[in-house]
Amino acid sequence: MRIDEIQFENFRKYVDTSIDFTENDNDIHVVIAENGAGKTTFLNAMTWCLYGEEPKIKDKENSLPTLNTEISNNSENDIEKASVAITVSGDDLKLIYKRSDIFKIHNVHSDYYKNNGKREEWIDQEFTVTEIQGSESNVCREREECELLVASFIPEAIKEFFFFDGEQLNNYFLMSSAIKDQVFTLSHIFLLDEMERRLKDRLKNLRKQGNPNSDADSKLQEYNNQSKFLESELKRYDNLKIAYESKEKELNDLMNNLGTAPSIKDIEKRRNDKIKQKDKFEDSLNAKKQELNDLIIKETPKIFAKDAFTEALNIIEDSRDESYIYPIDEDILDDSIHDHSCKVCDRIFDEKLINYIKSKKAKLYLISPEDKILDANKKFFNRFKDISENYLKKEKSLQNEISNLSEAIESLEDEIKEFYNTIKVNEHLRESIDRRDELLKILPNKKSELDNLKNNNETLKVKVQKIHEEYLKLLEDEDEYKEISAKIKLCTDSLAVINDVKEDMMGETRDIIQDATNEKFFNLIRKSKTYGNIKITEDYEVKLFDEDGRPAASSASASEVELLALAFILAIHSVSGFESPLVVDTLLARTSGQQRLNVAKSCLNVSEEKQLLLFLIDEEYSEPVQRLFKEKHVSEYTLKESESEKIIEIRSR
Amino acid sequence: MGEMHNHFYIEKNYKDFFKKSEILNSSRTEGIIKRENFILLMSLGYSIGFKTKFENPRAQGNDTFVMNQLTDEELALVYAIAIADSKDTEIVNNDLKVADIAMEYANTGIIALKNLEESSQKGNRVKKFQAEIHDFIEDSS
Repeated sequence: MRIDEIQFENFRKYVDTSIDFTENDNDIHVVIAENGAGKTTFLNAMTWCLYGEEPKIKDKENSLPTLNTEISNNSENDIEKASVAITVSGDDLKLIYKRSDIFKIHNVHSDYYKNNGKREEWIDQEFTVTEIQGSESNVCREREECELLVASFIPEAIKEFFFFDGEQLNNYFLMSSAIKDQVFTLSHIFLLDEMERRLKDRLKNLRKQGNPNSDADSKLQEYNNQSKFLESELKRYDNLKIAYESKEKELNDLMNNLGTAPSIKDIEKRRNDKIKQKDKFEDSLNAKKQELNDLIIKETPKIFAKDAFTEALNIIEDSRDESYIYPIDEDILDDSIHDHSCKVCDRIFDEKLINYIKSKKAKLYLISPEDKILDANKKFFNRFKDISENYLKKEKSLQNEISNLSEAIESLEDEIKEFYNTIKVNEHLRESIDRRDELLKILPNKKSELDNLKNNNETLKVKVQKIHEEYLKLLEDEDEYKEISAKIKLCTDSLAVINDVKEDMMGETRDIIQDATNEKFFNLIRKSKTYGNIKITEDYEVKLFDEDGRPAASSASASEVELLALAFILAIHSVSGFESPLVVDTLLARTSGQQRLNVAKSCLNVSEEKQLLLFLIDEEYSEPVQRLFKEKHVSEYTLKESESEKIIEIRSR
Repeated sequence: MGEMHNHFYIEKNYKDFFKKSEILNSSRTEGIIKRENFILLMSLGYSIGFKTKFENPRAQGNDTFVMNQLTDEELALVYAIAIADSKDTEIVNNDLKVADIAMEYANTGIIALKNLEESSQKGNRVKKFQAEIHDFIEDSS
C-alpha cells in the first residue's frame, strides 16, 4: 500500500493544507524544510493520525494542543477541530484514516479562560477509517475495527520499521532484543508463544489434579515399607518372647534350688559398708587417743608441780612482810602520763596532776625487775596450783569416748566377721545366686519391653491396614487418572511440537531476513568486493564481515552503515508482508559528498519496490542529490513557514 | 629470762630413750615436743622430790631440748620450781641457777619415766603413766 495524500486541518501550524504524493516515474517523494520549519510536526502528525500519539513529544501533559493557536485565540465558533487525514491505497482498496481532536472554545470572559489562561478545552477525539472499494464506501468508527484497519496498513508494534529517523539508523544495531521481539510479532511467532503459554497453563492445571501413578505408587511403596517393618517387629517380638520365657524358666529353677539363699553381692556390699564405718570410727578413736595424749603431755606438768606453786607463793608472801609497799610499775606510770589516764583505775590525769607525778617520780618506790617477774607469774601459780580436778574431768570424758568408740569398733568387727562367714558358707553358690539376682533384676524390664512392643505392633497393624485401604482407593480412581494422564501426555507432546516449530520458524525467519539483508545491502552498495557477507545472530545482532570472514563493521563508512541499516529494515519489510511505504527523516544528514550521493542513488532503487517519503533539510539536499533526483523526476515539496510564523504552507517545486 | 631457751640441756646418754619413749612421743605437737617433754620431765622430777646431779651440763655433746622460747605458762612452771627449790625469790634474777635446777629435776624425771616405761608392756605405757598420775593426785589431795 502507498500513501496518496495527507490533509491537515487546524493541526498546529498546518491550518488548511494537504500534500499529494502522486506516483510519477518512481515512487520517491522528498519533503524539504529548514530546521524548525515544521518537518517534525509533519511526521508527528502522521503517527498521531494513525496511532494517536506523537513519538517525538515526550512531555504530553504540557505539550501544546493540536489545535492551531490562531484558531483557538480568534475563533468565534463554539467548537473547533484539529484533524489529520491520511489516504492510502493498494490494489482495489482505498483507506482514509482521519483523526480529530475536538475542542470547545471559551470566550475570554469565561471562568475557564480565567482559570486556565486559554480558550480551547479539549473535549473529545474522533478516529474514523473510511474504506472505499470501487464505488462503495464505508465509514468505520468502532475503535477496535479502526485499529485493525490501521494494522492492515502498518501495525503499531512494528511502526518503528516504517517511520524512522535517519540520524538514529545506527541505533537499530543497538536494540537487537527489541528487534527480535518485533520480528517475532512480524513472523507471528508470538502466536506460537501464546499457544505454548496456554498449553503450559493447561498442563499445570492437569498436573494439579494429581499424577495417578506417582500417588498410587508412593502409597504402595509406603504400604510395602510399613508391612515390612511390621513383619520385622513381629519377628522381633517373637524372639524377645522366646528369650524372656527361657529366662523366666531359668529363674524359676534357680529359685527352687536356692530357696532364700542370700545375695552374696548384697552381703558383700553391706560388709564393705560396715568396714567403711569401722574405718571411720577408728579414725575418731585415734583422734580421741591423740587428744588424750596431748592432754597428758600439756597438763600433767602442772599437776606434778602443784606443790611448787603453793611453795613459791608462800615464799613470795613471806618475802613481803606487813610493811611491804607494793611498788609502782614505771612502765604503767609512763603510759598513764602519756595517755592522761590511769592504766590501773582509769582516773583522768589533768595537767596539774601530771606535773605533780613527774615532780615526785624520782621519789616514788618503783617496782624492781624481780618483783615484776614474781607478780607476772603469781597469777599462773594461783591458777595452776589446783587443776587436778579439771584434768581428771577432761581425761574421764575422753576416756569414755575412747571406750565407746572401741566398743563400737569391736561390734562392727563382729558384724564384719559374720558377713565374711556367710559369704564363705555360700561361696559355692555364688554363681547361681548372682544369676538368680541378675534375672530378678532384668526380667521385669524385659517384660515391660515385651508388653510395649506388643502394643506398638497392634498400633502398627492398624496403620498398615489403613495404608492398604488408601492404596486400594487410589487404585479404584485409576481410570479417572488414566484420562488425565493421556491429556497430560497430549499437552506435553504438543508443547514439544510447538517448541520444535517455533525453533524452526525462528531459524527460518532469521535466515530469510539474513538472506534478504544480504541481497538488499549488496544491491544498494553496488560493490561486492569490499564486504563478504552479513550474518544475523540469534539475538538479531547484524554483523558485517569482509571477504575473509573478519568483522568489518568498524571499517564501514557512515553511508555504508546507513545502507546496512536500510537493507536490514527493508529485509524486515519483506518478511513482514507489509509492503507499506518507508518514511525516513534526515536520511542523508550523516553522510556527505559521494557517500551521500550513493545513499540517494540507493533510495531510487528502493523506490522501485515501495513508496519512499524522505524528509530532508536544505543542507543535506545537496546539489548532486538534487540533480540526481530531478533527472529521475522525483517529486519535491517544501515546507514554508509564513512570515507571521503562524502557518506552514506545503508547496510543490 | 634472757637467752634461757638456749640453756636447757639433757644428757646425751638419754638421746635414744627420747627417741623410743612411748609417752614422750605420744603427743602430736611435733616440732615443739622437745620443749614440752622437758617441762613434763622437770615437773615429774620435782614431784618425785629430788634432783639428780647433772655435771657440767653445758659441755659439748649434750643434747639441747629447748629450741624455742618457752611459753608464759611453761616459764611460770620453771620459776615456781626454782623458787620452791631455792626458797628464795631472788633466784628469778639468776637465769643460770634457774636452768640448773630445772635440768637436775628433769634428770630425775627422765630416770623415773625410763623406769616406768621399762617396767611396763609396749602399748600399755601411756595407761600406766595415767595410773601414776591418778595415784599422785590421790596422794597429794
